[in-house]
Amino acid sequence: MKGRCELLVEEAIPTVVARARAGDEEAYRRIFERYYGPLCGFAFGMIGNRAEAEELVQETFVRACRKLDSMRDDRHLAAWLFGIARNVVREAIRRKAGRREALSLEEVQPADRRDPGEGPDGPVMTGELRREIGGALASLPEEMREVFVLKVMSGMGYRDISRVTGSSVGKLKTDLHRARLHLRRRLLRYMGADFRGTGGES
Amino acid sequence: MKCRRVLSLLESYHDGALGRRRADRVRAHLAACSSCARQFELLEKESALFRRYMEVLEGELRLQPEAWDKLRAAMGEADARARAGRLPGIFRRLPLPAARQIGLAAAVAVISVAATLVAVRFHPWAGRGPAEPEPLQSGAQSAGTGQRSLESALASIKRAEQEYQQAIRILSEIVEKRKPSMDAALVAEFERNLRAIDQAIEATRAAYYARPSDPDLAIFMLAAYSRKVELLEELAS
Repeated sequence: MKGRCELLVEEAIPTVVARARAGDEEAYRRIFERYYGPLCGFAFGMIGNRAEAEELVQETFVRACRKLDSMRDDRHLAAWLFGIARNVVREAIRRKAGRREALSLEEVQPADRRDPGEGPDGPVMTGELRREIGGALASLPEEMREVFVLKVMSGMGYRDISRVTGSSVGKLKTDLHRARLHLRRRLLRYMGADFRGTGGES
Repeated sequence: MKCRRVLSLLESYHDGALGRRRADRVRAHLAACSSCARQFELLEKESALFRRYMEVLEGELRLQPEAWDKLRAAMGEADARARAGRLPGIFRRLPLPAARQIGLAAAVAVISVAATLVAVRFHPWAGRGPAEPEPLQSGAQSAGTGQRSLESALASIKRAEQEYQQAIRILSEIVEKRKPSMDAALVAEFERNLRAIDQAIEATRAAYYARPSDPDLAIFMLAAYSRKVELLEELAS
């Protein structure tokens, strides 16, 4: 897996997984510590609530530990973990839907109210912008939100997303394109003056 | 390559999903066409905005020191089931709590409860049990059996809850006696965790008693009790 989700050194992954599978708690802790943040980011992107995202990631690791023996290819540990997280998140979304608690803009809150200010090369991420992005993500249909969060926000490659979701790369590309258009329309005023002439199309 | 074609490939190019040949052609077009190059730049800016959002989130959602302990506590329920011989993998190999050091009554209660958890989880009433063939019954017989099955499950859950409460009482007494000789920071940490678990017990208990026929709620409640027993065992040992 390339990009920000390449979490343990490629050649170390099978070794760490083998140790964890053999009952080495420290090895499992290493996996947990390395993947906790990206999985939380994914869960938060999907569900829009910090405490719930953390709970879902915990549940992900409980299930992963139980299923460690069933992982087919240790090299794809990250995709495997994201796949479990995806199921956990989808179940949570179904439960919410069952309780008629659709993800609402009110619920989509910044993980922390502190304004992080401007990074050296990143856009200014004000509290208002974060709420708007969270709200825009929440308004996406689930499958589009999933591929958008995994591809654009988590930096995962199409092949890995395909492993995680079970969708074809063609479908992922279509969903991602639609997600981009939707978000562009929602966030046009935050994208900068340059975007205003584009009519939301690239 | 014409602008229209390039624009249709722009996202794939940006995402690194084009083959080398096509990517080279898009790149060459972008170098020569300022209009398409502008669109590509906007796409990059847009992605940078979302990546920045994710970075800020990940920075705030970074691992807290207590996260691993919370995970271990959450694994307690599965560990109990593993001890009943059902689960494969790491749980079976993690150190067992020192139940044998803390009094026969508590240990018996814990084992009994673990067995009840398994029974509840895989009881036909829970709707997810192993696929054992059941004899054919008439509708009335089936309804009667279902009712008895539900009553029996509810009684098991009640018994399990009482056993957990008994185990918690015994363990709490042991912990209280040991506290003065323990590290203050450790005690404070355990007390924080205990408070969180007590809240979980309260919430899951209220949910279960509001809908006692929901097996998931019963399991959540018993799992919360199980976590408290696990934590107390750890402190007691």
